[in-house]
Amino acid sequence: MEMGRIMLCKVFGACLVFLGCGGIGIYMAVRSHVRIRIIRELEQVLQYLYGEIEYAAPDMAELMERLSVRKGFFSYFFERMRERILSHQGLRFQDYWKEEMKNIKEMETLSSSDRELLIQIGENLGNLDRMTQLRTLELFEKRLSEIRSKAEKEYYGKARISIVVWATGGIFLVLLFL
Amino acid sequence: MEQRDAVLQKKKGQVFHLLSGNVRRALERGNFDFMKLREIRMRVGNPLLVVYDGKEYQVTVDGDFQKSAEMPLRISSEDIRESLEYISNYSMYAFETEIKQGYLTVPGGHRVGVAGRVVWEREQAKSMRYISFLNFRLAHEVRGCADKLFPYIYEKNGIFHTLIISPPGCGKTTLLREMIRKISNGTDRHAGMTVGVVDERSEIAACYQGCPQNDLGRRTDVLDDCPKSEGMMMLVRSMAPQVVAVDEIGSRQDAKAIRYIMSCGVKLLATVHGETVEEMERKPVMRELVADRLFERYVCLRPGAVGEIQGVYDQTGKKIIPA
Repeated sequence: MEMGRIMLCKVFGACLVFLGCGGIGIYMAVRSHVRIRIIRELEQVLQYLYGEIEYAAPDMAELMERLSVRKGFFSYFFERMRERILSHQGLRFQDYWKEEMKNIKEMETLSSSDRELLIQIGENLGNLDRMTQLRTLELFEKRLSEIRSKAEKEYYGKARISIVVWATGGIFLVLLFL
Repeated sequence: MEQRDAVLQKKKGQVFHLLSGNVRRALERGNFDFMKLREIRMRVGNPLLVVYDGKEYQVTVDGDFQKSAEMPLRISSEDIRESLEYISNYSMYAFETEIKQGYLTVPGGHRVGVAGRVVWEREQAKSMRYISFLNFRLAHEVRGCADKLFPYIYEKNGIFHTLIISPPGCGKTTLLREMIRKISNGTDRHAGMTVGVVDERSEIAACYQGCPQNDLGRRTDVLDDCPKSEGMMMLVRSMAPQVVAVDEIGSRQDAKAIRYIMSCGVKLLATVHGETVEEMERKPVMRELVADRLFERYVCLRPGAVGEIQGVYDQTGKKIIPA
């Protein structure tokens, strides 16, 4: 009876360890998918900016306001950007951009090169003439598209490896504890 | 009184909000009547200048206006950059056309003149770089300046086709703006009329993001930044105005559009550079319009004065006031 209870506890513990490790694997896979979603959203943002600037060239405050009402990772960021632009505190646009970027909580899912690219986008917004502005946006959009397709290609392999490795690790731990 | 103060504070805020931190702080320290402030001039490496009550002053760091200040506030390139960023909301691309023309219209209907190095392409100004000079020209409406004209420009079924003749800087746009506002709102004797304004250089309505910053009345539609000749015809087709108002006519296309809208039964309110009706009879394009007696009233402003009416004439050139 006592042995049976101990065995039951061990099996239960083993299941927990296995599920926990598997869970971490799934979490890691989802995390790398968030990166893809962020990049995709950024691409859409740049497309939107391109279209709006080409069509009617509204100013940055107006564009940030319109972007802030779209649901996504960046809506609060754009709302804050609009507030900062209209606050006239003496900083440059890219300084506001850099500061507000720190408050995006999903930022940690991006690689350092992604973050660097995001900063560069901020540095190249607003202070150019219309034609150069459009060309710059196009260039960044192209770069983001490349990064996204590379990340998407790598994603399935990476996600599978992550889940398998963590699940195998779980089995190993279970065997070790048993 | 409180309401007036609130309006004044709002107007002040609209202008000061666009100035760089240094300039804004200095002017906020100063004790002056904002309504008498006409211009704020910023030139890199030079003292901050203001035109106040018709006279030019240097501004000190403490915001005092002095004829020749010992410690004036000097403008740096950072001040210009900061102001430009505020004026454009960090969006230079959005003001390309305005910068090409040399000025931007900002909330409140004020004008900011810009100067720097002009970039040319195919014998046309393409843009401007190294902007180092800014001139804030403050707009103040002059309510009531058209009051004494009204008995002479109204007829039974509306207004006469009216042409305001004036040399530059004598207040013709201000007068036109006030006439539009009153015609649109109506007076004790006359019902309000639908007015369409073609504002080619954003001088009449001073639109900012499509919204008129100057009060043009409740029955006024504005076509902003649109060539006069095309705009007049567009308005007639789309907005069915009873009166069309335009500033500074003079080209052949303008004359053609004027004939078109008059043939549609729309009344015209226009301004032109000049001094007298006789001068109009000698000008190439205007000559035909005057000879055909298309204008029923000519309002001439006195050269060298601001907003002073020299005379009102009928279509034959006969003086109505002063008789």
